[in-house]
Amino acid sequence: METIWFICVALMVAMYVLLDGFDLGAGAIHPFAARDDRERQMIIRAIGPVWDGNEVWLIAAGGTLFFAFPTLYASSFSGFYLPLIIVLWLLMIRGLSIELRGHIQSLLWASFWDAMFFVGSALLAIFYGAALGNVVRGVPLNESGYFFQPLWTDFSPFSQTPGILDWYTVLIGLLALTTLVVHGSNFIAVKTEGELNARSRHISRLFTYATIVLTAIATPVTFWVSPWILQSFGARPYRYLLPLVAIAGLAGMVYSNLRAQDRAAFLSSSAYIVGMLTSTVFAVYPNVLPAVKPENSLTIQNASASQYGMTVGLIWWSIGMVLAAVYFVVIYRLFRGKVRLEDEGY
Amino acid sequence: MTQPYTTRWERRDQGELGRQPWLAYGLFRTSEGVSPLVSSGSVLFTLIGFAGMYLIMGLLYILLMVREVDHGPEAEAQTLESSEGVTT
Repeated sequence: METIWFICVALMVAMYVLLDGFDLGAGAIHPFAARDDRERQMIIRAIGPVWDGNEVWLIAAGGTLFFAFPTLYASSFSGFYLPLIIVLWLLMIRGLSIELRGHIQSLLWASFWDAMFFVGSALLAIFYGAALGNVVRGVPLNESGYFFQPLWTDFSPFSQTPGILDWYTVLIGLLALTTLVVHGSNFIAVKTEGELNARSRHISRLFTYATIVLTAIATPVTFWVSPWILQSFGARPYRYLLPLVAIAGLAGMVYSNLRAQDRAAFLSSSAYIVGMLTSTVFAVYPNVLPAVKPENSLTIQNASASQYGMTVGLIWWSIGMVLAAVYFVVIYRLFRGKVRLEDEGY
Repeated sequence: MTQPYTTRWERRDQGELGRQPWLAYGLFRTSEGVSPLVSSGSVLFTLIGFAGMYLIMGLLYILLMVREVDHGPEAEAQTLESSEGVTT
């Protein structure tokens, strides 16, 4: 039962990164892909009907985490208190910028919110990557399952007290940024035509190469930081399938970008994201939050809720998922195709 | 005109404050729910941050509301057209 919920939470986090990932990426390329106000509006229109729905996956994943693994939720939300509040502020600023940009027809107003949209999106991508980096490296949990980590310390690879932001987690943050930039520009390429489409495709190509380089650096570094990840793969060899999905996605990203197949490129970057995330998450399993001292780690056993609650919850979770799936199919079908400014917005 | 708003606030405040010292009445005390390792400095920092954030949001709201009211209802068609684009 714990394993089922572990998979449920992992699935929801993956859905979140996949869906909100492309609108974060769209925000990060926004100042570079769009040359004039018309194109900037096109990008915002492309994600307009869906970005807020995408973000609900984060809330839903957080809620599910709270429900299924309350100890993990308590421990990580107090341990990562400051970074999570910063993430929340960034989400607020980004949401405001999308909503308020069009309300006053002034260049100064629009460019201020464009800047906020860019900063919010890019920093969020880095922070999410850094968060994943922290989980993979392990945090200094004490016997009662709590921890405190400074926001940053000295960024040294040999530091005894690494911060939440340090060389390794920022490296993973940059990998997350390049990945989501590729994912976002693939999405914008699918949704637009003409110059904007060409520019997005160009950005996608550049950042695909950056992603390949960073993946090649980050993978061995991760094995060096957390050697137990390799053992975890060795113990259950069928998990080697997951990194293969990521590699296939990476290859697909290059191939379909060069052949100008935007939809295939978007699917490839999706495969890469899902492959990377699931490889990481299932390497961490059965831990949910690894500790620096392994005996203090939070696992699916010691962090989970009661059996009865989890059984009942599974029924409601399934109903909720069906409703969410229906909603997402409807909204993406409703707004399928290329965006045009001439059509009325949502 | 303000009464519905103040009443709603009052209900919130009484709901939250009147329940003290419990988080869940009779089950879980507030003092038991505190995060043990979050410093009061962090909490103060984020409290000020949130207050600032909501202050700015409130001011923006007033600014935009006043603008909309000044425009009046008949100006609507015009804004829809002009939203087609300011070009740089």
